[in-house]
Amino acid sequence: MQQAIGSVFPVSTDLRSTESPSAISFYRREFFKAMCGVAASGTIFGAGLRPAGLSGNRSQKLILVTFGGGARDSETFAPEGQRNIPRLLAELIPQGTFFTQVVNRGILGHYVATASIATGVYESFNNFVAAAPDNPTVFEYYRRSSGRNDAWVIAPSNGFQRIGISAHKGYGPDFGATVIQPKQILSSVLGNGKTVSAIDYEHLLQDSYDTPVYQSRLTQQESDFNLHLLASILKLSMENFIAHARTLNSADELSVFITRQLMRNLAPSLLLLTLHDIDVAHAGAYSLYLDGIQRADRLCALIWNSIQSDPEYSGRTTLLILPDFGRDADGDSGGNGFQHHRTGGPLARTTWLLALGPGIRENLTVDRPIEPIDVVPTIGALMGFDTPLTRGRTISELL
Amino acid sequence: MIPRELTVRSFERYPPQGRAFASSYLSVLQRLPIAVLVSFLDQIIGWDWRFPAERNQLEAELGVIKNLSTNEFEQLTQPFAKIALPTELTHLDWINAPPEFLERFTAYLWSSHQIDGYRAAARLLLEQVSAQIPPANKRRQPLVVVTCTKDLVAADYPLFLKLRKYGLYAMNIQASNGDEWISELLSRRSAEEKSPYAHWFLDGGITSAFISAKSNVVYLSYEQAEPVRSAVLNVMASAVRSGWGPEVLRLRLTQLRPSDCNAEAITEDPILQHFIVSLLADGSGTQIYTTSFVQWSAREILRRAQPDTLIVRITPRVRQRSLNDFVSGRRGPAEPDFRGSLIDGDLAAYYTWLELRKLPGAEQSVFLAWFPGPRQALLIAPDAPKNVDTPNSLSLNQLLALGHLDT
Repeated sequence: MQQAIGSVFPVSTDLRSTESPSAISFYRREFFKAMCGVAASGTIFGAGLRPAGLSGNRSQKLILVTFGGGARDSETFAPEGQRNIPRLLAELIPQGTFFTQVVNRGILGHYVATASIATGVYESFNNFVAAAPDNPTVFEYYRRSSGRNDAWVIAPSNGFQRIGISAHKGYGPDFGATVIQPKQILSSVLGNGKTVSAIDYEHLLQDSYDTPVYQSRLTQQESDFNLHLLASILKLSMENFIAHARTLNSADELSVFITRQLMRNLAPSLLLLTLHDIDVAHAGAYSLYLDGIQRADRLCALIWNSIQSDPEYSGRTTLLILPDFGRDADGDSGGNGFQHHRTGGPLARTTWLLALGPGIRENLTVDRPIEPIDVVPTIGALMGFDTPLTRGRTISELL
Repeated sequence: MIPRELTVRSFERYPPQGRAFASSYLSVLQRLPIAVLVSFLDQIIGWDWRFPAERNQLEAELGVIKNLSTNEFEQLTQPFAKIALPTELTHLDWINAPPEFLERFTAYLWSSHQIDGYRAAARLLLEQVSAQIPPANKRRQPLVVVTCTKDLVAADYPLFLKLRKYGLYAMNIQASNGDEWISELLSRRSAEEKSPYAHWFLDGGITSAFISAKSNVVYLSYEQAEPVRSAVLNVMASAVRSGWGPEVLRLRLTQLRPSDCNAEAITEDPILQHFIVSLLADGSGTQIYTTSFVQWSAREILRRAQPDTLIVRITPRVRQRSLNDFVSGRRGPAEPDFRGSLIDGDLAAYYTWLELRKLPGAEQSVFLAWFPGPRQALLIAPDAPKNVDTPNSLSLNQLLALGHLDT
């Protein structure tokens, strides 16, 4: 599933003993100290008052964004990395509650880790197989409880197509989320006889950076579904879609374009967006990895601003942003630093979570460790539905 | 088959020197749990193509383990013995196909959430064994120079940020004849120490004739590795056509031999042939860009060959292309990314230094990163200033003199 360990004696013992999760969160705490002039270790400061009565409000909307795939502290919150996330630092974090230690104890593959975030259980299926999660997803809990049909996922194409619906007997297709794969929509349009050169769009179709992927041709049914999404849900003509796509620089920009279009036209109450450009790190080119982080930073701000400017979302939407996991440490003998996430070391397991929105305290940093599987029960508590099979715990600071 | 049933005949399919080595350490191998034993076998089966430094290290490690007290041995190997292996793993031919076992074993460790425990056990074993290996004989002061072509520039990118606190950051280097300076430096060092694999020139660009002509210097370039890269991409193309998953693909890549890749066209030395194949087919991925190839290769040269001298030259890579694009052989944009390549090179310098630090004798080593486009350099050496910036105009000779290099 992951890269073979190879030898237990690959090199020396330099495994950076300081890389405990708490040591990793140090930079994030220090950032807040510098910014706010107060000690932040487990401390609530500058807390804006939350409006009463929002907890469990069914009119509330929630957008969950994974800052994927795999960004390390050294390129984000560490002093030398802060230049890559100016929008997060200057605009978003001051408006929200920031958790400095999100420890992922599961499998560090993008699909299985994102599925674990969506189910609140560390899933154990093969990351490289497009499998339905074993446990009910947050979308299924939400839809079964609310009776509504407005849970959506915007995801990359490398296996994520089944993330919206679990294989659990008590839930399943009747309650799942609709998964949009923007690259598949683009492929469908490009394959629909349009007189455009696919080469002009290849940078938007990149998906897997670790190994080349076998991509079967879309079936007629899949292609028809994608074109239906485009016309009926996203309200875009093929011509306009193609024209706009040509102005975009990456697959994540395409995903955010689709996300905003979906928000404008359907205003779903529960939405998961998976960013993935950062995973270009697997190609081994550090600059491309930094570009991916800088782009994700910009796109997160764009989503937040879209929420604020859309009457359907403004004032009643919680935005949660977290990486699916990190990447290997520079000095870890079992890997090649930023390039992969194969060692399971602390730097690869420890990330962060940012929450924004009505009822979320501003300028609050929380240093106690939480886990990505805590997100589902917290969403349930925020939106007023039960998540009985999750293994996570509600994040009290957000309720 | 369980480890204690191993006999000399168990290794009859190993290459001759590896077979002899396994036989001489049979009593140790018989005692190790499979969960750690196969990692040793993975090294032993390739013994015939290992660099001398690697052989010395493996022999030293097994020598230490052989002499551990019963208590020490139990304490260090018990965590591995506790890992219950599923029968589909134990039924694999782990003696003759260690990579296949390790691939599946790793997947099993992840899916059963035992990877962290395994990692901790491996780390403890490594630390304990390494601590008992006697120090090597005093070796020559290692020298590593990381440089790049002049066209790599990025005005807004702060170079050597991760390294500055360890050395002298020189912001105004005057060097009009840098290539010659490096060539002379390499000549001097290679003339004085003639051990095999002691001096390397790793080049991201095309072969530099003046370097390749030198004796006692191993020259390795991105261009030179093209036959192997093509073979790797062909295997990937098969994967794309056949729908293999990444695990099967990785296994197929580890099974590539020099003869499958026309590596004989690169060098007659079988050790180097295997090394080049491993750089591209094994380890950390395919390293398809020139910058990533150089970054990874520098680490591997230091880790495996433990040279006295390593010169690393970064050259521009092409702009971003997808792996599928490379695999398909389609002509992609060949436009170079100078800015991105400089940033890649900066990280490569840092990773090279990290690896240098792990070598025996590293405390005496001299590390110089010099990027001629921005005219900046960084020197890390025992006697050089630390965490100091200088705007003064310096030549490369003046800068290196601060490191008190033997040569």
